[in-house]
Amino acid sequence: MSLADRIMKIDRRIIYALIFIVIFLFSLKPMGIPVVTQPWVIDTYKLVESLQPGDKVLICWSLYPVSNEQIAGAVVILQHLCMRGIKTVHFQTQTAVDLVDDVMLNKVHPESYGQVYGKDWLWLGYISGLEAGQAAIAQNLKGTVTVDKYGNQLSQYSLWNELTNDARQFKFVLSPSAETPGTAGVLRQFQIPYGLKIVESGSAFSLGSVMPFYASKQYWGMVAGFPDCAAYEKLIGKPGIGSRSTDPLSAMGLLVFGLLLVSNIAYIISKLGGKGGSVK
Amino acid sequence: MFSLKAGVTSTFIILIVFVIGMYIYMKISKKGMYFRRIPGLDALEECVGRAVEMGRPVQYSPGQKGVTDTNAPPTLAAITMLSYVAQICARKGANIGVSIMDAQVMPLVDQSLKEAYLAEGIDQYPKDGIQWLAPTQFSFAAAMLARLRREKPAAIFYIGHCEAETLMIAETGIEIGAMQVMGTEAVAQLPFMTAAADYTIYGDEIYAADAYLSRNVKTMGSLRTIDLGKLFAMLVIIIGSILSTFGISILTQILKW
Amino acid sequence: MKMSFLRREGPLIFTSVVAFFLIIEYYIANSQLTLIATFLNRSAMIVGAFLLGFGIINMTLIHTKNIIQRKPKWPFSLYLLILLFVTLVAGLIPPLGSNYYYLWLFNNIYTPLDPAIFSLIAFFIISTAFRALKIRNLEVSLMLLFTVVVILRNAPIGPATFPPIGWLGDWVIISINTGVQRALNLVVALGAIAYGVRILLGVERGYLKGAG
Repeated sequence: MSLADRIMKIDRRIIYALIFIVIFLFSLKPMGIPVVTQPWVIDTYKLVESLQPGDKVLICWSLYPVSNEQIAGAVVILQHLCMRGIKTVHFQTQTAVDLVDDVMLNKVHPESYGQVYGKDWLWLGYISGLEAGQAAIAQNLKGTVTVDKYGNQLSQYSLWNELTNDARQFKFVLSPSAETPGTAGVLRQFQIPYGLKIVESGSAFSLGSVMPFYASKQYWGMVAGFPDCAAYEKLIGKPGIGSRSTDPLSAMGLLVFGLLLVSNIAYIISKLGGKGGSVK
Repeated sequence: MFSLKAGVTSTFIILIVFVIGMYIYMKISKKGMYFRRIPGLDALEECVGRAVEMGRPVQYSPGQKGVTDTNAPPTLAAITMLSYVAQICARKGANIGVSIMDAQVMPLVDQSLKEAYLAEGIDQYPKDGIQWLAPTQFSFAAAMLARLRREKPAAIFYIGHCEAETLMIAETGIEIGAMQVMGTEAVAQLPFMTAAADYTIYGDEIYAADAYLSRNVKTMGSLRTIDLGKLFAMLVIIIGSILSTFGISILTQILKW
Repeated sequence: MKMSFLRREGPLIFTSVVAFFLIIEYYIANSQLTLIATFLNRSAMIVGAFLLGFGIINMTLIHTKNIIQRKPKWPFSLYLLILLFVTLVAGLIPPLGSNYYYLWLFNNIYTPLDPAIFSLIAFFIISTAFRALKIRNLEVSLMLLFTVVVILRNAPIGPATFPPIGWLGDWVIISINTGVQRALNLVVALGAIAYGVRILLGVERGYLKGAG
């Protein structure tokens, strides 16, 4: 078997081992590679900056806590909202327990910005029905839920008493999503009927699917993936998980490029039947 | 008492016209209508035949979602295709296993398999092959990978609403040497299916499966309406782009009405 | 009315009536209609939740059979059933779904396992790209070209060291990708509407019975 054939038929486990080694090495020592701030990140930042303290934002969580990349954007936007004194109301359409607890209490730490549960933020818990649940919140917030995630009566909280049934009371809807109903559901239930601004956060994978909606301004902004998250962290001056993750991401990009280059060179050599190659 | 909600009048009119057009086409369509080839659908019989020759089972999964949310159409389309695949399996004597994530589809899958086998004159259908694996995405993915490695099917069909687990299933299928037909309406997964699967059924082709496989004149006629709908959309986009370039927003106003 | 007619056509008639009603409710502003539609939606959710029990019964029956018949790898079936019922019992201890044992199982076992399986995708994507993206023909070559451009654009080092890759990647995502996504979304939506109308009119019956 020629070298070219051996390269093309390489055991996958060698590739997996290379991936693991590269990520591990580049995670150990951050190099601080600069990131480009995309227009959709700047739009999101400007939107939050334009709000006044006491304004309200709705957060519709449509994801399981599968990876930090999916929640990194939401974390940094929530930090910015807390810094600006914006009040947030959270609900989730997936049954992942403690998602909002994990994000707010372990990563965002609203108390460090002087925010108090019940006065500055509320967690309504899991609303069943996926998109039907989103519709219920949009059309009839106060009729849909009466207790929060912890089982406490919402009427005891001052933030709940400030809220009305009008979806337009929220300055925008933040949609951290990966799962159904995700992007499409928020668009259909909040943007189209009420004209609410939508900001999407999720993994870099969702960038391609959400881009048509951002390009037509149905989505106001996005923070998709670690590079966007790192750029946003730079804007608000709080480096976090996004900034830490850009180095392994860069290394992986280069590794994939290198592997594709090598495999295609090997393929061309074996196709041409050149020196060391074999005719296919 | 009854009035249209704000902002939906234009879509309501378009929907009525679309439905009327579909009804007319279903009435006037004749046999022998031209239909382009869909390689993924042509390959169903080939895949099952391969499984029979190799003495290995067939594995089918109707995707992730159930029938009570907005992902019901691809799931129902997948179950429709399952009945075709099951009938081919019954005819050729292949074992079929079905992996389910959303338990809502279990009764439909059970019924499909039973009716498909009965259509071939076989009373006993492989009820034990229908397995509910897990209710969440990656639990389902892990269970599906384990099932594939254990049973080593020669043909894998993964059709319906698919998400991130698509590539995991496709790669595992390649490792065990299975021929794979995948199809979804989820646009984000199509590139992975194209790269990894042997045959891919793209987007709305899964909805055309019943018409394509049965050659039912009525359903084929309804597909002609979809083509006209696409033509209408193209015209609106082109005309709207030209008008918007000159600052005329009348078309946008009409569509927002 | 004959039983066979009801068995065959009954589900179709019921589906058509409910679907027609929900479509009308979406367009017509009337509080009574909205109330009925909300009730129907909630009923569907409840039926869906009950059907989860079907899945649990199916899983229990299949794996119990594996154990009794000592099929290959039957200890894993026993392990699965033990985990299933331990979690079920833990979830039923009050307060439902949020007692200490259930939360411990969810937070310490399920929550780490989910991202662990998700992380396998990275390895699979790269091995797929290595195997499949070769300059075989025009389509695959274009796919390879755009994959390389977007990968380097997403890696921060790409635009940082070679800005044109950032501009090219942005152009691919904003122009080409957006156009294709819109086209596919439109086409899929039209197909889904047509499929729904066929179900509404009772023309599409493949999901209810065998082929043809």
